[in-house]
Amino acid sequence: MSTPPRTRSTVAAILLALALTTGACSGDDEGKSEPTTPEASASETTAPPVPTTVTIEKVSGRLPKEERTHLKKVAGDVVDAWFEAAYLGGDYPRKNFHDAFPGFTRGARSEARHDFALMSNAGIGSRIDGVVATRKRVKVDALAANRRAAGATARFVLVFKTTGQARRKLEVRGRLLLTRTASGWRIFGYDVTKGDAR
Amino acid sequence: MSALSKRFPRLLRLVTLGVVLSVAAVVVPDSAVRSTEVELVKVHHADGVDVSPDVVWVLAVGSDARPGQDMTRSRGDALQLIGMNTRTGAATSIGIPRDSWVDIPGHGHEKINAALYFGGPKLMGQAVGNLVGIQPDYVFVSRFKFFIAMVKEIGGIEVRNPVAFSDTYLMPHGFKSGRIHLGGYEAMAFSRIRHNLIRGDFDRSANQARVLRGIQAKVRSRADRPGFMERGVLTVMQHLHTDLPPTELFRLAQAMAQVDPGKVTSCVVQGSIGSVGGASVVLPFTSMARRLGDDARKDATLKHC
Repeated sequence: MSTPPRTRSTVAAILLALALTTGACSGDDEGKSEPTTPEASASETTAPPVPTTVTIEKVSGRLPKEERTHLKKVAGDVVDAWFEAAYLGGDYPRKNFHDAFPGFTRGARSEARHDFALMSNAGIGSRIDGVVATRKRVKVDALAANRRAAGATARFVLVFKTTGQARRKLEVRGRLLLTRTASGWRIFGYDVTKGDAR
Repeated sequence: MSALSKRFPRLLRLVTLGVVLSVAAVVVPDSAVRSTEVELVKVHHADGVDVSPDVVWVLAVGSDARPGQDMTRSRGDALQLIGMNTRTGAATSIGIPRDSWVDIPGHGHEKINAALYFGGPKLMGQAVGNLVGIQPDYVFVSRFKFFIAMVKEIGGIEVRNPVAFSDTYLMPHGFKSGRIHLGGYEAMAFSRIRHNLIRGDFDRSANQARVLRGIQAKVRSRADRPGFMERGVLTVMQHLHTDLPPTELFRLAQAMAQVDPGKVTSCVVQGSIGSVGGASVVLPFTSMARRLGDDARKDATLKHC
């Protein structure tokens, strides 16, 4: 479902205040299997890719250190995989976004496909020839039960520049809802906005 | 039995009223106009959550258990059957007067709120389900103390009160009409008082729906605070009777958090007042109850009462 845009909230301000230093990197994978590998940059310079910074923030319940470390990794991996599949990776100009939602549950994937233009670069993919991430930030709030993480909210900010016909700087932010399933951590819900970055 | 009940081995899961009305907030980046080209930017927003089936039904029960009493074996003081459409964000509540005289499976005709005492949440859900024609997927049971604490925790709520009323014992200073703020205790009193209400049990049930809306609005305004939902679910696990696995509880709570307050509808099952064995009872209009159920079953939306 979609709702009209609303004003920036407190959490948005916090996220912005903690935004990472921007940098330039490749956005054109040219079919490489490692999407984070630097390639020819849209800005015509080679720079290291912007890492995804993941931190564990609010934890409700007792969660041992090793579990926090594990959650940080798996949640970061799930979110990062979506960043790559939906926005940063692929061979631009790109028309196929069928696999844009790895790590989503079947139902969440179905929901996201109703919001294809927002939840991926499907709306502009054919009019750009490169994508460069400038900020990737993920903050994870966790629910712990029996000293294990049972659910988590990943609050994220992704900022990237596109080159080509649709040359823009875009910001995607919001929350991804995750739970532990039999096949690992999965995104079962989302609350995401997308618009021009300042 | 609904698809969700079939999916999981246990028929009904008991969690809390507190998370029923959690509603997600939205983070929207500012728009910008670039100097090189004039462009009116529309910021898009999307949300979604994967909970099957699309429409989930929850019976929220406010138990009248006193301290030391088992709240799942007391009487249901507040009964609201809540439907939630996770695809559209719509939700609806069908209020059941607690004194409704109905057939309780295995116990003959009794006031419907006695079902909780006779058979716990499962029978309570069955009794309401038989009246409305929708068997709830979940039954949530809460008690006064937790309800008060929960409303207090979120900073109180705002409700629109159509008629001023009071109660000598619970709220001697009463409630003004119009938009009013309710703290924890006031919200409980607002939900319980009936003697000074023109239409007694029916108006009380409508007030309960107003309180639920108020909680929903307040939770919505805070849902994007870091850790808010996780804390809420943890509180449920710590204080309430539940056999729901934490992962499922978290998932359900997040699904409920995506309900759009603008798409919430509510009605109260009406009836006539009768007397059985010297006790005042409500003789519910069963045809109306079924009509409301039929109306909202598939999309959690009531077109009219």
